[in-house]
Amino acid sequence: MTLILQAPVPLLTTTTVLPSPQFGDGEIPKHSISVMQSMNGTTYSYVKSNARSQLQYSLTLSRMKALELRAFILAYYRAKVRLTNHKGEVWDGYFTSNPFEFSTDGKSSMPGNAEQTITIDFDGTRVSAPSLPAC
Amino acid sequence: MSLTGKLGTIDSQPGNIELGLSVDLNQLVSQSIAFVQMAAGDSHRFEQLQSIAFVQAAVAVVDRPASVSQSLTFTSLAVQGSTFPKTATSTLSFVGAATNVVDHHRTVSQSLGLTQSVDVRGPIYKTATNTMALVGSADVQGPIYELVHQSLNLFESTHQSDIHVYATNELDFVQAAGRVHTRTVTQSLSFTQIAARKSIVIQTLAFTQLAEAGKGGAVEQELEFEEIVSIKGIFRRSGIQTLDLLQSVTYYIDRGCTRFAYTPFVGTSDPNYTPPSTVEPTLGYHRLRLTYPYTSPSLSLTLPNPAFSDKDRLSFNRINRETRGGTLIVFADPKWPKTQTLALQVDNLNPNQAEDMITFLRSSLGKEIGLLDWENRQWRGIITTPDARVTHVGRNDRSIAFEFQGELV
Repeated sequence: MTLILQAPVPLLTTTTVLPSPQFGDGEIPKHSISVMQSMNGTTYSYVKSNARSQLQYSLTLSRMKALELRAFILAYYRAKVRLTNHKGEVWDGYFTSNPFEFSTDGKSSMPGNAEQTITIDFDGTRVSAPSLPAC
Repeated sequence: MSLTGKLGTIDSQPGNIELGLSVDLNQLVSQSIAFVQMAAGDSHRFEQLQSIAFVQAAVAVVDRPASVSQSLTFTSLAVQGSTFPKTATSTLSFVGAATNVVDHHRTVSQSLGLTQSVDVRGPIYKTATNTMALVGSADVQGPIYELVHQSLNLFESTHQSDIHVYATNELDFVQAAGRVHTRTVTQSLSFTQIAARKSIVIQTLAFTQLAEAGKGGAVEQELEFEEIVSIKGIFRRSGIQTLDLLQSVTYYIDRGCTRFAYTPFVGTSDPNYTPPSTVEPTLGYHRLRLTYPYTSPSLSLTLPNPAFSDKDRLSFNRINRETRGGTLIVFADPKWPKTQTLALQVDNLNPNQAEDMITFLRSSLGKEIGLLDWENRQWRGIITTPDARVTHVGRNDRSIAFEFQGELV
């Protein structure tokens, strides 16, 4: 599976196909609760539910694919982006990373093949259920 | 016409006056009485009481049309000419009745002219009470409709002398006009409302209701409402809405080489965004070189390529807001700056290179320089860490870490 970025929503113009993220990716729901206790010990919880979640993906990319992602970020850093992750889930939201930092970790003797790592934070809502490929 | 009467004495004995009047048939009946009574007290201490009761009746028993008029003029004056405390009481009781017992239309009019005054003349404190109770009634007793007109003219005055007196002026007035069948009720209400807040709003409501009910007649009731609201300001607003229709198409190819090569798929464009170039950048091989100034460089410094873990940062000014419903809104003006920063660490510098680096940093402090990176890409920008530390790592080994902020040329 791949990680696909498309922008801008809804008038999708550009599509970028990236490799699947590294292990350690996360999904953080944006719910919040406030728990309070009254004087007689009764517990009250005030819930603020939210359909949004924050996704965090660490990508290891080749130099060329990193340049492609860099160009994509420069063009659509302020636009709504559609993300299709490695599980087939489709999310609509925004990049919330600031700054976007590409770090060169691997080494290679060929230009354009050095490995670079970037961690992107994405805040959005899921618009479709995951569709795992049939094995 | 004959007049008989007996005058009472003034030695505290009551005086009665009797008047009788008789007329011939077919003659105009007119009765006029003028009565003046004066009671003067001397220096003796006694209470002076003056009471007048007058009853007058005029009855016309005729079969022919006749007009009946009755005029009464009564003047009562109580004068106290003594210097001692006295109580002066003047009571007037007047009953007038005009009865017309005929079978034809008649006009019955009854006029009352009443003048009552209490004059206190004395140098000491007095209490003067002037009370007039006047009851007028006009009854029509007959099978025919009669027009009853009753007019009451009343004048009351309380004279105050030079000394302090407490004067009480009371008027009790009761008037009743009886007419069995016809009733006229007129009710008028007028409301005026003013509301001002940056403008004046005057709202006037006039209600007029008239209900007439006769014997066996129809009842009509009309209500008229009129409300006027004036607006002293007309604000015209114009709205323009432009509908643009756009369409887009894009695609992707999910293959192994697609995931690593520079292969963005760009379709039709959105005018609000500039899509990235589909042409892959050309990367070469070069050593890191710094030049100053950027245009017509006079100072050039070539350094070893930076070590791994160099950073390429993209920073943007964006405004993030979350609505009450939990929707994230991100806004950034395309004119706002986009900051690109390179964080580099250069190792394996010899002492001369380290010294040249320090000299270069001092010379180009805050000025725009040129940077040609190890991939043969030209940048222009500023070194943002002129206080970068040169570390003596080994015998002939120096290292320096600095940050460069600029843009690709």
